Amino acid sequence: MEVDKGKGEAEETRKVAEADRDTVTLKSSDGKLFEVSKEAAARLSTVLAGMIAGGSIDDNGTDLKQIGSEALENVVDYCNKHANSIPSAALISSSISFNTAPFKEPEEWERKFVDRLSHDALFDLVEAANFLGMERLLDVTCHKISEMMKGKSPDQIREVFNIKNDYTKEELEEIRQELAWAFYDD
Amino acid sequence: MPPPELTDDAITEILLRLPPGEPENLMRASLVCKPWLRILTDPGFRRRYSAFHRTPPVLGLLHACQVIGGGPPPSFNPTTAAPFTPYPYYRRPLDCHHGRVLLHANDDGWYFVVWDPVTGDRQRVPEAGINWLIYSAAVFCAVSGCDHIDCHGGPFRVVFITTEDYTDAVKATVYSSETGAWSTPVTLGTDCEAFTQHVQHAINNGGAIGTFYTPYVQPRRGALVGDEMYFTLRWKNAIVKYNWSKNCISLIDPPSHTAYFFTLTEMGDNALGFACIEGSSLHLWSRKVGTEGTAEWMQCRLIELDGRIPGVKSKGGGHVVGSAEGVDVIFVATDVGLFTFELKSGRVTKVDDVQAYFSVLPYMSFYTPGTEGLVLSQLLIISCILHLAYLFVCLGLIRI
Repeated sequence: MEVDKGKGEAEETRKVAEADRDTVTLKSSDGKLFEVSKEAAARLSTVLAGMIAGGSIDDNGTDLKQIGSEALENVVDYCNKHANSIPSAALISSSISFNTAPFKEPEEWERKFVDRLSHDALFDLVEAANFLGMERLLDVTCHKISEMMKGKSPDQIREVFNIKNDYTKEELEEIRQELAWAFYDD
Repeated sequence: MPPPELTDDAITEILLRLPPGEPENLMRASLVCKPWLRILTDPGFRRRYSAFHRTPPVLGLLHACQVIGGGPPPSFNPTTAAPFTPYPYYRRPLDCHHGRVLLHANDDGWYFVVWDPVTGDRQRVPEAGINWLIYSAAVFCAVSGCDHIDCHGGPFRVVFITTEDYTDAVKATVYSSETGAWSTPVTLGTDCEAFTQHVQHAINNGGAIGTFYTPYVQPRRGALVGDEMYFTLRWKNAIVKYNWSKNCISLIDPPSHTAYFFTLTEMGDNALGFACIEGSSLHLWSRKVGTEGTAEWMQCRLIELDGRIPGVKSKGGGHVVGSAEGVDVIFVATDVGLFTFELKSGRVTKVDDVQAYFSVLPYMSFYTPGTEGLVLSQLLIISCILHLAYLFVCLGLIRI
């Protein structure tokens, strides 16, 4: 019983120490550690916010087994850049409007942030953002990919996404006739 | 090295962000592979897609035009690549709301048609039984609590307002698709003090022949704000308020008595809007209703249009003939053509030639794969059956 009590106290002390820190340490699937501001992590990721609130953040590096080091580095980089950015007028909703659309165009720095990523890094970052519940990062990365799809034929889209065509020739022909309007510039 | 394969979740997130104003991109995506087709035609995807984008895009424009002396035949001009089902032949368009179009038809007697241009669904609504002289009407979704982002096919209401022939009374009534009946018409009469003053003003200021004043309902698109429909009378831009849930009618003052042409609109936050061009400036007003029911007009935007929209000059020359609620777009007709003006960006686009408009009716709806319900849905069913068969084979339930 004594030992258990001691353990409990140690746990409590560790939790208090953890709560006092203003950064959290995240560990990628390949074992690399990254530090990120606790405030930014909690604000930008619903999953990390839940872990911080629930006290399940590990001081020695919270395991994120689904995320590789390159993607996690980009996640942390995004959090840091976001913390330092000043929201533009576009992000401040106006009270005088017919209605406001929920999706906000990426900021200039967000555009630059995704533009410098390789194709693979961008795809990995979408998965990471989705896993961590980072709505804004999902917006920015998915917006970039959806721009890559615009005006492309199904063949070209398959190439972008590395997808095999599982339609038969007859099926494709039937749909193309029905949806000729969607293929006006092919 | 090929790029990493994405999970269905990540693919869904990407497809969700394809812009609704370019439905061809969604259609092409559905041809990439069957898993994508399954994602795109899942009813859950459509719900998420419409909730994500919140405001449906303008897919086409109908024109309510002045037809004295013979106008052009009614037409429906798509503004995206997405096609519509055939336009019901020679019908007069009156309104668009919540994915539906209201048409007035006259082949075997007069009646209304509520038409869904995407699915092709048409429902016939009988006349309201009022001997109309000049009128306007509206159609909208009747489901209480609906956010109206994507409400095709459910119950609807049609509001009809008219200056009655011979009696010259302004009457309004509402039709329910659930009961298949019109309400007892209500008349704007002397029990409404604002109307009594309006009539007196017309008589004293040359709006009447002697003491005989006809309150002409303007055949323009009305504005739907909560349980109320707003239409206008010709004299001094007076606004008729018709509460269709309580079936009561009254008159309210406009923010400008002098604007020659204006459009009523819904401004969000349950506020009535009034848009007009005076000189070369666009004026946008919002009617704020206080907690005690008192209301006042507040001017919320004043935008100089001279040099921005062809045909709008300091002496005038432009009319606001419509608005697309929720996307901050107004339609301006000048002697050069019909233009959209995007309030946020200031972008101006010519969308049609010169016509004598009463109103431009923007048809707004989402257009996702499977909506049109033909080949894609059939393919999906076939692919689901094959998928199930494959599963059964794997489980050893079917021997081949």
